[in-house]
Amino acid sequence: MNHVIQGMRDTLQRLCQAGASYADVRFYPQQDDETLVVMQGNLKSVERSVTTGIGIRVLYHGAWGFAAASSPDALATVADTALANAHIAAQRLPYPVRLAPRTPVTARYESPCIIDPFSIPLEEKVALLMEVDKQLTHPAVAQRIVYMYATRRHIIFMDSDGAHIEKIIHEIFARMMAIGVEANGMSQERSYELRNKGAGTRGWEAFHDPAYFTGQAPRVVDELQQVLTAEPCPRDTRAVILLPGIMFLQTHEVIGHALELDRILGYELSYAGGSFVKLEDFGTLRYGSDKLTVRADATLPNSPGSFGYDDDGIPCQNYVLIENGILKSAITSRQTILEANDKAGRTIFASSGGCARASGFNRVPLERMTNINIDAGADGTRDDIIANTERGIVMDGARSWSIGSNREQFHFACEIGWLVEDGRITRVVKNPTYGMDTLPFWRALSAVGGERTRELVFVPNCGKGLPSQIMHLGHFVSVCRFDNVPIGT
Amino acid sequence: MPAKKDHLKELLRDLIRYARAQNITAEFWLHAEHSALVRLANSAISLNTCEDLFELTVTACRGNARGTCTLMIAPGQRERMYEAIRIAGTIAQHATPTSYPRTLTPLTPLPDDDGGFDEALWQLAPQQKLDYIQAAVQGLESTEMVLAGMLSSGAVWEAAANTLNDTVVFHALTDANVSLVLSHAQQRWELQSTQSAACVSELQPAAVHAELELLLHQYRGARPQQLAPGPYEVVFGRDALAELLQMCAWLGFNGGACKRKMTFLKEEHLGTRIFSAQVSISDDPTQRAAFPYAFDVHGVPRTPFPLVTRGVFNAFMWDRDSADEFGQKETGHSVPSLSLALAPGTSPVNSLAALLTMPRERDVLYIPHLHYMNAVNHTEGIITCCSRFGALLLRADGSVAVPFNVRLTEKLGHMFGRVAWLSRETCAANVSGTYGTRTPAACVVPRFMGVHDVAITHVNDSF
Repeated sequence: MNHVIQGMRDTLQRLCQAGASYADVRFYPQQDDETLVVMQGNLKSVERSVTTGIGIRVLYHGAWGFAAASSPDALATVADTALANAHIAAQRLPYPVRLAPRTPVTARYESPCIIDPFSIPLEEKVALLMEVDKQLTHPAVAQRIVYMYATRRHIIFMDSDGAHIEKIIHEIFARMMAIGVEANGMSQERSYELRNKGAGTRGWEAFHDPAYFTGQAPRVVDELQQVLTAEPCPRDTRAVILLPGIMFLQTHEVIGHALELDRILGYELSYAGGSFVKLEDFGTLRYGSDKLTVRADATLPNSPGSFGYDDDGIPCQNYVLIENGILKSAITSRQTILEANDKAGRTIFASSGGCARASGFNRVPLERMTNINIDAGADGTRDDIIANTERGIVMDGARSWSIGSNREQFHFACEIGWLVEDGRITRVVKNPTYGMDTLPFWRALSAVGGERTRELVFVPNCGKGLPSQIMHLGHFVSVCRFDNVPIGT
Repeated sequence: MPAKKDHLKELLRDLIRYARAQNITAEFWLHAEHSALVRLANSAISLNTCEDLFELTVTACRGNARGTCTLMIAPGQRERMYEAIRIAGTIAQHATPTSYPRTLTPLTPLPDDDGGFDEALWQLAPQQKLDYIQAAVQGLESTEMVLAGMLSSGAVWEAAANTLNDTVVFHALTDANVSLVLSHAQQRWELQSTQSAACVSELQPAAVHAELELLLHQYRGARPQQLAPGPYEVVFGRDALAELLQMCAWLGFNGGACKRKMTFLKEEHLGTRIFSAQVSISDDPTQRAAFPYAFDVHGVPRTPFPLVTRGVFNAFMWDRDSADEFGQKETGHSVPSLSLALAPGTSPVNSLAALLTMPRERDVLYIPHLHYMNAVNHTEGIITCCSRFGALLLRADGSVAVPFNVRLTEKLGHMFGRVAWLSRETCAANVSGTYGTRTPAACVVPRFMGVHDVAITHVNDSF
């Protein structure tokens, strides 16, 4: 590996001599991934993958070129290709890219992990999944699915400014799903994914506390049974109380994505869409009620949205996006903040938010969510919020979601709902849905649960970009209530 | 290309020998690719990228137990490939066998499936791409009309083998996918044209230019309107239609998903009318424009597979693992991508210009592209999505208006069950994703499909 690292240094120097104003190299000496899937008590697949590769990004006259190969020995060829690509891109460039200044660092980061999942014997991993499968086994459950995914990425980043960062990132995800069939043949599902309370470490020890995964199976089965015999969600306008199992997605889709600066600047228009947020909105737009404070926090120790340093070499940070309902900042990186400030005619963003992330060696860094969290509120527990609700519905479990192209409106379908009348849960309903325009929805936020209601939900599959990338991140969110929301649409 | 083909075949034969020497029964899937993508945003080339990848997947088989190791490395690292075989073997040793028997069969010798490989498309030069883009948007950009999009091109080389015999089957093709978007910087509406190409001669910027120009003519100066929710006559363009077809395959035609209670089509629907009589859908690996596979990842030969014939549901698709689990006959559908085709109709409306002047008794909503489609309810086949990129309201009085985006929430059974008309010309609509390794995919569909009474459930009051 040392010869590769020396080669990286030499390559960066050569690229600058050839006219690049900036270049970086991300070398993945090894990325290990493992996925286990159990369906109906059968171990359907055990897949282990090993990935090696190198990606080089070059900025030439303000234009990006990138090249990658699964062959680190092809370093010189990859570098030449990246530079040639940048030359081509420079032929059509009305607004040259300028990178915001930063101090290059030499550092090493390893995500906190006590027990490496890859050191656990396969039999033990299978036994854990089979135990969950056994707990999901019930006459009402027609199909049971349990899966686990672990990854360990070794990344070496170097750039032409002298940054040299080595990272070892551990992550683990798991999910269980129970599917049942109503008498009329319609299916219902109830699921649960591995989560935590924000602290702790990210290895196999994540399963030690059954409250965070294995212990949830009986509740999943119980709630599925209730949904199978429930009445449909009425079409109505009510207060909607979202538990973390759907609140994370609400936050993700119409706060997280809406505040990615590259999206706001129009860089995702041809694929993932734009944003209703405009540059002039920062500092003035009332995004939500004064109960809404949202942070981009990449410093949470135990979440996939924390990674030490981003793929521009910027240290991870914790900063406010929305404060007491007012929009303050965005999800940013070095490559867009100067353009945004220029176009706004003022300094909105003083420095990079450290959100440049690439999913692998063969993808360029983009502005991606880290951990997008809602601050705990003062409205007590879930039961306190319910007790203070006259006419509402509690919802949990993300079943489907569809968002407008500028994140301006949304539609969610959940796994389960509980109607609330006069401060008490009255009955379970099935097929609960809700949809609304984004800003009126967040402005209707009327209660935010306290710290005890908060859960950190992991997202293993956020998609964005061309070429597209899947990113891992987290949302640390409380139980929240929104008033006067159309449901049952 | 012959050298690459021979090298990959020799490599697989060597891996077969090694696995046998280790007493490991195994299947192999090799994937190599060259991918290039020019990304446009804010009228600039915001990224020009390419990648060369090599990936080996080994699945070791021990009775009914399986273990898989996938390796993405340099193609010359033979020792690491041997290690992958040993890792897969070890996993299979320790994995729990399934309760059902799992199939492994010797491969049938098949001709090389590389008729879809165009050297000129593989070697598409950067200047050719720039020239294409420039020609496609010539005269259409301005300070207010901003260009976004992408031109993706590349080649894949793939091969399958297993230790039961020495047969290696080989597949290679080239593809290109174009999406160009013009958006108004202040008014925020967006127009799109797309093009799919299996060879360089199919890259025709004039067609893209004509479509963008016609849409621009409709949008420029128009006063966009907020529609009212309710049922609409809708005409879907090729890209929207391809997305609906894919959703049908996922939520309807997949046999394993049906057994897992995740589809709107059930076994009792076989042989019954589920869609309009005008609708015939197949998975057709003879359609070159659909980037087809002549065999699946297990080397099972693929042939045209009618899914729906004149509205009648013929058959589910069964990948090998689902067929094994549920005691069905596999149908060659363990493939990285399908080759879905919707048969044409008889309508002479085969161009956007003809659509705009088509006689109509009611208002018709033209939706060329669907954004963020998802399944609200799998077993009822309810999907929800939004319109985007150049929707038009074709009024009954013959005029054309521009609508703000709308949300559709409807059953797939209704979308294909209330078909008013289908164009008689077909075209390829590219549905390739760029997540993971390169997997070209396209649906062959009529240029337009008219549908009665589609439910519009939410209407925007702005773009």
